[in-house]
Amino acid sequence: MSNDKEKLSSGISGLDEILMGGFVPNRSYLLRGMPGTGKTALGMHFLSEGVKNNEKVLFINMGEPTDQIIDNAQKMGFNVDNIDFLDLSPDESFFSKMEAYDIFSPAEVERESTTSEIIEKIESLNPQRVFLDPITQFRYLSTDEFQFRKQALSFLRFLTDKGATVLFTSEFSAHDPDDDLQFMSDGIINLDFFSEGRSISVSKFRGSGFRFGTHSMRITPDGVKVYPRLRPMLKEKEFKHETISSGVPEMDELLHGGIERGTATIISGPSGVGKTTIGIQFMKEAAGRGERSVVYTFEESLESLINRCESINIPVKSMINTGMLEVVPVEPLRYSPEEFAQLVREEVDSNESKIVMIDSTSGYTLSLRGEDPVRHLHSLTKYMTRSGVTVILINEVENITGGLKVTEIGISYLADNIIFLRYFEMNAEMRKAIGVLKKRLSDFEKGLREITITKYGIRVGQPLKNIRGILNGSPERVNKEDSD
Amino acid sequence: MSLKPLILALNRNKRNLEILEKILGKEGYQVVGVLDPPELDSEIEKQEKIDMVLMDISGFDKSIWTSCERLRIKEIPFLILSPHHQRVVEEQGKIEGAHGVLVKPLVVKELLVLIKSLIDD
Repeated sequence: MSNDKEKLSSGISGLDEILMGGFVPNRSYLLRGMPGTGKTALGMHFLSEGVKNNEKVLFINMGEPTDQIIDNAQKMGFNVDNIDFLDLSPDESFFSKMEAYDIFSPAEVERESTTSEIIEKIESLNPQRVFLDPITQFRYLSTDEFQFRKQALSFLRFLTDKGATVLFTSEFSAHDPDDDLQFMSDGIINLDFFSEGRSISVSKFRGSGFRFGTHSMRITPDGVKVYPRLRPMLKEKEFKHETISSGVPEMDELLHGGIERGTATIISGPSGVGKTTIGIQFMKEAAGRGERSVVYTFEESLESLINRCESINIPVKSMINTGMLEVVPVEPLRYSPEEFAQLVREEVDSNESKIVMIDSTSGYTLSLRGEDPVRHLHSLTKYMTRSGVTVILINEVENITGGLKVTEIGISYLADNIIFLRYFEMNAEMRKAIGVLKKRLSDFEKGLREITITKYGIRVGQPLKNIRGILNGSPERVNKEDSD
Repeated sequence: MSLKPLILALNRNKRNLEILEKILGKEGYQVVGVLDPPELDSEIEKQEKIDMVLMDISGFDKSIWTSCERLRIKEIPFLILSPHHQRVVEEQGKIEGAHGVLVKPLVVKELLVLIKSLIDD
């Protein structure tokens, strides 16, 4: 990636990441999208970035008039002071002055003046960045397709020869395909708008690699944000493979020491059995070591979580105050999986959080927009574990007792460790059992233990011996003689 | 001193005349535009030498052919510009002595070649 420095930033960090650093200079790029997909906004980012680097930048507007563009750009917080505009949009005199003529086609009459205006501007300004919006306007100035293609190509070449990096937009429809433009550009960025949100993808990028696939995009009051799809391969941080304790000695015994750093653990169990509490228990212990943890809660509110934990002797409030814990409630349908991944990634990368808990996986799949959230959860989990983060996924199962099933959404393959909790009835009393189903990096206790949650914290008992049938919810005592 | 060849252009549309003047002017022709047949007739009387005439017939009635006849008698070459392909116009044009009937929109290069060949003759 030695040529990264030579690349031109697009002005949007997420897009730069997809383009592996930015645009290759002196090339021309096609920006495709239906009306309202954010083409012009993206172009403004591209030009503003140039202004930031003291480059000369030029906006050639062939559709919208300049003042309208400036107005829209300022509303999004762009500073347009140092952007040069070349306004080739039709003005009102087009109608009012009866400028209609029929002796020659517009292609013959206007082309010359348009071309000379552009050439004059380019030669006097010598811009490093040019944004042409939209190039398809040239089509009307060409007598036929062949002419258009020839002109567009020679025009783009003229700009790049002058040292400019060009971004041009196209308006296309089934009637008016823009395949010819796709062939002549050095790169293609596609913008789309679905009911689940906006997306951006690159389908061609000469002279550089790029990140495949559809990435999430959002147009905010501060401009365009791009959220690249997470690729766990990108990152493999060095970290110490050690076991972290839960702080409850009996639970550690069950787990043969605790859970390993950089692994994913599913805590599975029915409603109210104490899954979240066990997760937070690991965080309490981590806070004691001075490590930061984050909980993304999709169901519970911050207050209820705090109250619940405080009442069982987990000092969540002071953990939050000292920065050792962050509880992030996630609103339903607010994020796409890529945006959520970006959020988690920033947290993990910049705040060095060591334990991340997602509460719960079904909340995650329900709350995030878009298709196939489970696959995204997979890559997010992989991303975190490779950076040494311990991931806890809370999974609720519907059966209160019996019918052992680890997860409802088929995510058990994600987990390195599976801890499960179950209710069982004993002498007409509901009791809880904890057990380990799987542990990839170490052995574990095969027996179940009883677990109780008291105002002093989590209590885990000795292995439940001489009882069988706990997993189907109605256990019976086993006589010692029988079992022998 | 070199006299620029003079082209008389009849056209209802002012903008068409402006464009013609600009394009032909660049090629070294002097263009005089007129908006209707009476103006054309008076220009023919006034000018000493007219190298050729461009007659755009759009918007005029049959009386336009009288003007054409006058040009034929005076042996001034002329081209007829028509908004559509119409056999009647093409036939009548030839009968009245036009050197060609062109259908709009014209192609600049072709027009220039035609004008050049007519004037050089």
